[in-house]
Amino acid sequence: MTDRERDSVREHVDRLPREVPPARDLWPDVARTIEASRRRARVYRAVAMASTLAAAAAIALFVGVEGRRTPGRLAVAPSVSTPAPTPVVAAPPPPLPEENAYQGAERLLDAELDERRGSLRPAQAAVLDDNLRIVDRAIETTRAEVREHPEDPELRAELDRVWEDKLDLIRQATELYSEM
Amino acid sequence: MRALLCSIAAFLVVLLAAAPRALAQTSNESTLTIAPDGVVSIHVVDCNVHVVGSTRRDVKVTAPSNEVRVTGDGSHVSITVRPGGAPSMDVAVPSGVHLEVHGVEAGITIHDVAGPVQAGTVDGNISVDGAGHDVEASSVSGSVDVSIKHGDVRASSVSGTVSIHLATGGAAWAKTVSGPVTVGGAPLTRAEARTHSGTVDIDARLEGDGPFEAHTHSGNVHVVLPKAAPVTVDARTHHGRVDNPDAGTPAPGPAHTVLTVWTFSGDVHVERK
Repeated sequence: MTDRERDSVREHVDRLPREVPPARDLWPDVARTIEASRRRARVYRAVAMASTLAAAAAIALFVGVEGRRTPGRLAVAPSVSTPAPTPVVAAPPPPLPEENAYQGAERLLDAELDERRGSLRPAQAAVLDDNLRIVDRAIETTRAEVREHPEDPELRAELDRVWEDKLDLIRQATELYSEM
Repeated sequence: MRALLCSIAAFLVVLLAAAPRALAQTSNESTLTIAPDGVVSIHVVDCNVHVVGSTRRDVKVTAPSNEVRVTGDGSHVSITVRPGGAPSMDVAVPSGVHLEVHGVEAGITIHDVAGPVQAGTVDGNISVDGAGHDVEASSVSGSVDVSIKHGDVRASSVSGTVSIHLATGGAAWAKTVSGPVTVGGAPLTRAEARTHSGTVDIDARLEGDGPFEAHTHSGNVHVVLPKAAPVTVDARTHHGRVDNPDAGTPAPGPAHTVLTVWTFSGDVHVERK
């Protein structure tokens, strides 16, 4: 390109207008594009939220089923604090006539044990009393069953056994405590 | 820096030199001669006792205090520790002696005493192992664990675990109120296990007329017997479940041995291996 040709091009360029208005209004197309993009984002968010809720529901269902399979495994605290109902404690059934001999022996052994109680440390007395309560409960539950099934020889044998265990327990404790 | 290192080294040397002397000052020993079948009586309060039997011909008492009273006349040695006297005591005895140990707040361990053993404690665990013959052990609040080769064992607790294992057989009687009971060994000629609120585990070869009994009030019972053992298991529960593969079928071989199992409200599981 010669110098004259270069100057001619520069003149033409300098004569061109600085701003050219668009042939049509472009904003409506831009606005549509932005709105479409927002809609896609809303759909993605909705799908993600639905998936999360579905997963949570599945976990809750699984935990609920497992919880029903093993009752008492999960302790659920009440959401609202309500006063617990007062338990109705049934009086233990009265002893059977055949328990008289055991009760007589128990009174004698108890008197001997009571003489040693003064020298027991609180923890020792607590262990003894806890275990006497365990045996007493066994006597009560067995006695109640014997009343319901008086002809069952196994239950009668069990009642004898738990009574003998109680007398043995008092004897054993008295013997060991006498070493103190 | 060099001076500091030298000081530390000097301090350590002095400490190491003084340590044996300090130990010798606090550790007391008493030795008394005793007949091989003599009687050793131990009474302790607040003191853990460790007794070991061996081929020795005397009784040697070692305690970290001089508040241990040891007396004897050749056939009987008596050892007493009063409250606060010594926190622990080691006693070495001829293995054939008759051993009696009574304690309060005292753990008792006995190893390789082949003569008759009687051990009782109010608060503490009892462990008897190694050689053994006739063992009677009871605790109010603590476990009782007897694991010997052969013997006649009576073990009981009130609120602890009771475990008897007789490697080459013997007779076992185990009882507790609120702990589990375990009985094992082969062959056992008598096995009685009883608890109230604990489980009973029996894993043994049973021979003879017994008695063989496993009782619990509210716990489960688990029995393991050799596959071809001629033993009939009579298992019953009042409120629980019985899983006994032998139920309704005659025991293999001449079934003269019967194991009676009873639980009031637990389950029974019988297994043959």
